[in-house]
Amino acid sequence: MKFWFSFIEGVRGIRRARLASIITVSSVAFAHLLIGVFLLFSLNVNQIIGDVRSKIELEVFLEADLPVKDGKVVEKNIAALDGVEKVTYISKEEAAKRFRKEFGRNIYEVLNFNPLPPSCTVKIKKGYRNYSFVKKLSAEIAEFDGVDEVKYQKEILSIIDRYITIVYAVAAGAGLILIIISIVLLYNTIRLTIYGRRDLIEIMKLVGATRAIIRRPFIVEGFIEGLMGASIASLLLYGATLLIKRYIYPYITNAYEIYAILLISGAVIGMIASSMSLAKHLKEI
Amino acid sequence: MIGPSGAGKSSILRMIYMDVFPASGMVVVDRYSSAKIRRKEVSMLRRRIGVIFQDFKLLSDRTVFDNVAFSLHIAGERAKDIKRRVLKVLTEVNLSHKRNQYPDELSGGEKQRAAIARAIVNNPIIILADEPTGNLDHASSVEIMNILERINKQGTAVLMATHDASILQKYTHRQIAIDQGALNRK
Repeated sequence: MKFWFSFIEGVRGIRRARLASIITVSSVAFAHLLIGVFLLFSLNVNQIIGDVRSKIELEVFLEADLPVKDGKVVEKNIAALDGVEKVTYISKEEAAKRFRKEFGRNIYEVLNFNPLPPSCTVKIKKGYRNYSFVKKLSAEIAEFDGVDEVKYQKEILSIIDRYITIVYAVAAGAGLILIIISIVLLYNTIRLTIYGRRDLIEIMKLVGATRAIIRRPFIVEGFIEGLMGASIASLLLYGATLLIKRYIYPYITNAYEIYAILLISGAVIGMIASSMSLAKHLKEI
Repeated sequence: MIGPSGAGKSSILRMIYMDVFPASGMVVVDRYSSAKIRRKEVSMLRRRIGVIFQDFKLLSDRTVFDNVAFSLHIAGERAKDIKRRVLKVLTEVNLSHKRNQYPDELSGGEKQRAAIARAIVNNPIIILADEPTGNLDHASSVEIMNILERINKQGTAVLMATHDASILQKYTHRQIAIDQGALNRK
């Protein structure tokens, strides 16, 4: 039993049951469009959250009269901690310069002296940017000699962490449901095409085709139809992202991985669904 | 094999190609026994049995050539051998000139000849024919019977179920009568 024979029979099947094939391809396309929208949405939410997280930094205020030499020691000690990406020491003078830049006035003119303490800003490594770690880190740094106070955006971090689990859980659930729906849709339409070709299956059995041989053309058919449906969904989705980028949300992120996932999923789901419906059919006759 | 409708002629044929299994007793064909044959072995057995039906069972979406080639493809033969063997059996049933036509374009007798070609292309050990002339006019029936007889003379067993009295008179082979599931030799 040659591969080409299975392939040609599969293509023949698609052409012969044209209406059923169109229905199958459309239902794969529809389901994968939903899956694609959902993946794209998750990706963009993730992107936004990642952006917010990457802006999270600790501000470590040192004692106001701490000498630069000791401040540098604190900077070094913080840099040695786990999960710290970068530490920048800001001296009293540097802080005064920044004040002038931000508020447009010289602090000495306002107060006659510089009340700004030296400080360090601490950037956190990717993967450590969550509430519980940042809280622990800030407590640790606060214990250091010469450190007065540690500040960070507690609110945002805790909100992100509280809701992100829920968002991911809902997203995973929705994705799973969509995949099941598309398998069921496909399973039923492919059952129709199989029913329409009882004669082919009957003759295959009559001339000595094993179950594996009978199955192959139908699996090829499911593969092709799944791939076609997923391709249509991918094109629609890609077109939609271009429109959204242009007219609604210019920062939308597009990832080619999403389209690869859709195409693979279409092909695999097509094969699974046709193999399942054929197994049922072979049991019935 | 003769007998009234419902006597069990078709059932016996189906038992031989192991499409149904006996409720009691055992069917032995070649080296396979219905008592312990496995599903995969049923497929292998069927590659050695040619079956012909009253309703031809040709695939309408492909030509005569492809219908005959179908069973060789299933058996995994090479494309080159397939072409040679299909043309040979189509010549034997005198249908090679219609090899590129579709079943719907053929007469009943021609369809049955195509079906016979498909049945013999695998060099079977036995041909099972279930009312092969049931849908055919007299002339076509004679033609089909002549082909089956020729196949038989070449050394292939032919088991045919029929209730066509004129055939029984003309072709005097061994006859088995079946009545209510019981065999009576004549």
